[in-house]
Amino acid sequence: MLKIMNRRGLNWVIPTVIGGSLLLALPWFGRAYYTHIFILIFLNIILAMGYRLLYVTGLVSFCHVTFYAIGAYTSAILAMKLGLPFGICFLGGGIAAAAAAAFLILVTSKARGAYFFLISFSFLGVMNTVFMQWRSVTGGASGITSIPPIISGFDTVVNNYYIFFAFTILTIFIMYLLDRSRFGSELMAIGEAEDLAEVIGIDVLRHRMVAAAIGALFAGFAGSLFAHYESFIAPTSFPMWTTIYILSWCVIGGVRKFWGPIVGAVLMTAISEYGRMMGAMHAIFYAAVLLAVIMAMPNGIVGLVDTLRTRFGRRQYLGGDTKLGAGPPPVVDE
Amino acid sequence: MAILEVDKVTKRFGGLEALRDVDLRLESGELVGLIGPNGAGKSTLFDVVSGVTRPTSGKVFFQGEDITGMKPHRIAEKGLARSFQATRLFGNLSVLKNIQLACHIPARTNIAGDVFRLPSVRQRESEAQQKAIDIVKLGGLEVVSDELAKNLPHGYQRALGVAIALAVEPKLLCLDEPVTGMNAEETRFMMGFIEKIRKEGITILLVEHHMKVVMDICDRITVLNFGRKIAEGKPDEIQGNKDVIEAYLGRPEDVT
Repeated sequence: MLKIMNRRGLNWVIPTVIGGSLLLALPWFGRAYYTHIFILIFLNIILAMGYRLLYVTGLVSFCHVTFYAIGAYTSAILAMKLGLPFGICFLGGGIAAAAAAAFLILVTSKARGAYFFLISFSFLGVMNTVFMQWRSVTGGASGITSIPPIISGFDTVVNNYYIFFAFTILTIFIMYLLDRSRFGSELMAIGEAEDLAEVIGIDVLRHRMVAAAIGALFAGFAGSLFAHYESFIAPTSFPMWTTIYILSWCVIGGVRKFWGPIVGAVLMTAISEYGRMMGAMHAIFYAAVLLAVIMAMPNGIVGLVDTLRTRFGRRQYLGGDTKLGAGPPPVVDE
Repeated sequence: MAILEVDKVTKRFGGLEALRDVDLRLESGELVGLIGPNGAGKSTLFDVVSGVTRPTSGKVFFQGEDITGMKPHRIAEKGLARSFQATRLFGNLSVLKNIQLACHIPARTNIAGDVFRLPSVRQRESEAQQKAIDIVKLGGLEVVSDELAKNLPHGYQRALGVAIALAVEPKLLCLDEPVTGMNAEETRFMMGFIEKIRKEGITILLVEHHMKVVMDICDRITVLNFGRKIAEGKPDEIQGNKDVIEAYLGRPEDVT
C-alpha cells in the first residue's frame, strides 16, 4: 500500500478514483439519455481499441464494423434460434468474429495498402449481402427483433450501463497488458518495417492473424452486448461508414499511443452526439473538428501530450561517450 | 563444415537474369567480401540467402540444412541474420527497444504467456534487456540509446542496423553495405565494430563498395558481375585480377 502512495503512484490513483467514482455515479444523476450516450461511448472505445491492433501492424481495414455485426448476429441467432443463455451467445459472437478476422488475414496474406483496404471492403459487401439476403436466419432487411436482454429481469438502462462499464474496463485492462507486452511491441515493429521484422524472426502473418482475431473478438463481444441491449438488430444497425468513424477516432486520439483511440472515441462520440442538436450542420461540424485536430496534432491528441512530456521531461542515458558521429546527441523532434 | 553453401543459384525477374549459377561457400569463422559493380546481383543474392526472395533454381544450405525458399523468420531462427542496404529501422521505437525486439528468438513463448506476464516471461525479458544493453555498448550507441531510431544521424542509424542483426545471435551475419554514406571517421568506427563482431566468432558475409574496407578486413573476396561469379580469392589476388579490373573499369579498347 505504501508503495502506491509515492508521488508517481498518486499521479495515477487520484484521477482514476475520481473519474471512476463519477462514472459509477453517473446513471443516478444524469438523465437516461446521457446514460445511453455513455453506453455508446463504451462500445466505441472497445471498437477503436480492437481496430488499433491491426492498424499498428500496417493494415488499414474497412470492415471492422463487419466483425461487430458478425458478433451481434451470431449472438442474436444463437439466442433466438437455439434459445441459448446469454453467456454462450456472447462467447459465440466473439469467437465467430475472431475466426472471420483470422480467415480474412490468412487469405489476404500478400495484400497490402490499398489492395488490403479494397479486399476488406469486399468482405464487408459480401457479409452485408448475407445479412440482407439470408432471410430465414438473419431476418433480411427487417432484421431480428425482441432479442432477450443481457440478464432477464435486470433490463434497465442503468443496469446495462454497469454491465457495459465493467466490460469496457476489462477490455482496456487486457488491451493494456497486451500493449506493454513484447507481442504488442512486435506488432508495432511490423508496422514500422515489415521486412526488418521478418528477418529478426517475427512471424508476420501469424502476428497479424492474432492481432486481427483479438481485435475482432472484442468487436464481436461488443456486438453481442449491443444486440442484447437494443433487443433489435438489422443491417442498418451497422452502416459501413462506422469503420471510417472508428478510423477517425484512432487518428484523432493518436493511433500509435495506447490511450489514443480511447481519447478519440470518447471525444468524438460526445461531439457527434452534441452535434446532433445542430441538425443538418452536424456532419460539417464533425469534419471541422477532425480537420483541425489532424492539422494541429499530426500524432493525435495523446501523441501531442507525449511529445510535450518528452520535450520538457527528464531524459536518461546509459552513459558512455560519443564514439560515432560528431556533436551532442540529436534532439527528439516528433 | 561450410556454414553457408550457395549451390548454382539462378534468379530471374521476368526477362532479367539477376543471378546465374552462382556458387558461394563460407567456412565457419570467415569474413568473406562480396563485391561487384552496381546491378551485379549482390543484394539479390542476399535476399535469396535470407529468404526474402525465392531463387528460380539452385539451393541454399545453412549448416548443412537446405533452407531454400524457407520464410525469413524461420531462417532467422536458425541463426542467419542480415542488415539492409537502405537503412531499415523501427523508426518510432527507441534504439534500445529496436535491439531488444531482436533479442528474443532463443526463448520464444506463446502470446498468452507474454500478455499476462508469466514469471518466465519476465525473466526472459530482463535477460533480453540486459543483452540489448550489452549490444548497445558493443555498438557504441550508449549516448543515443533512448532516442527514437528515426531521429539518429546517419552513422548511428547504420550502426543500429548492424546492432539489430547482431541481436538475433546469428552464427552467420550478412551485412549489406554497412559503410554507405559514411565519413572517414564513421567508416573507421564501423570497421572496428565489424572486427569486434568477428572476434565473437560470428561468420560474416560483407557486401561493400568501399574497396579499402573490403581489402583491409576480408579473408576472401567473391566478385559478381551481371549476375555471374567472375572471380574469387584473397584480397591481393583480386586486386590484380584482369577480369575484375575489366568489370569495374572496362577494357582499354572500349575507352578509345
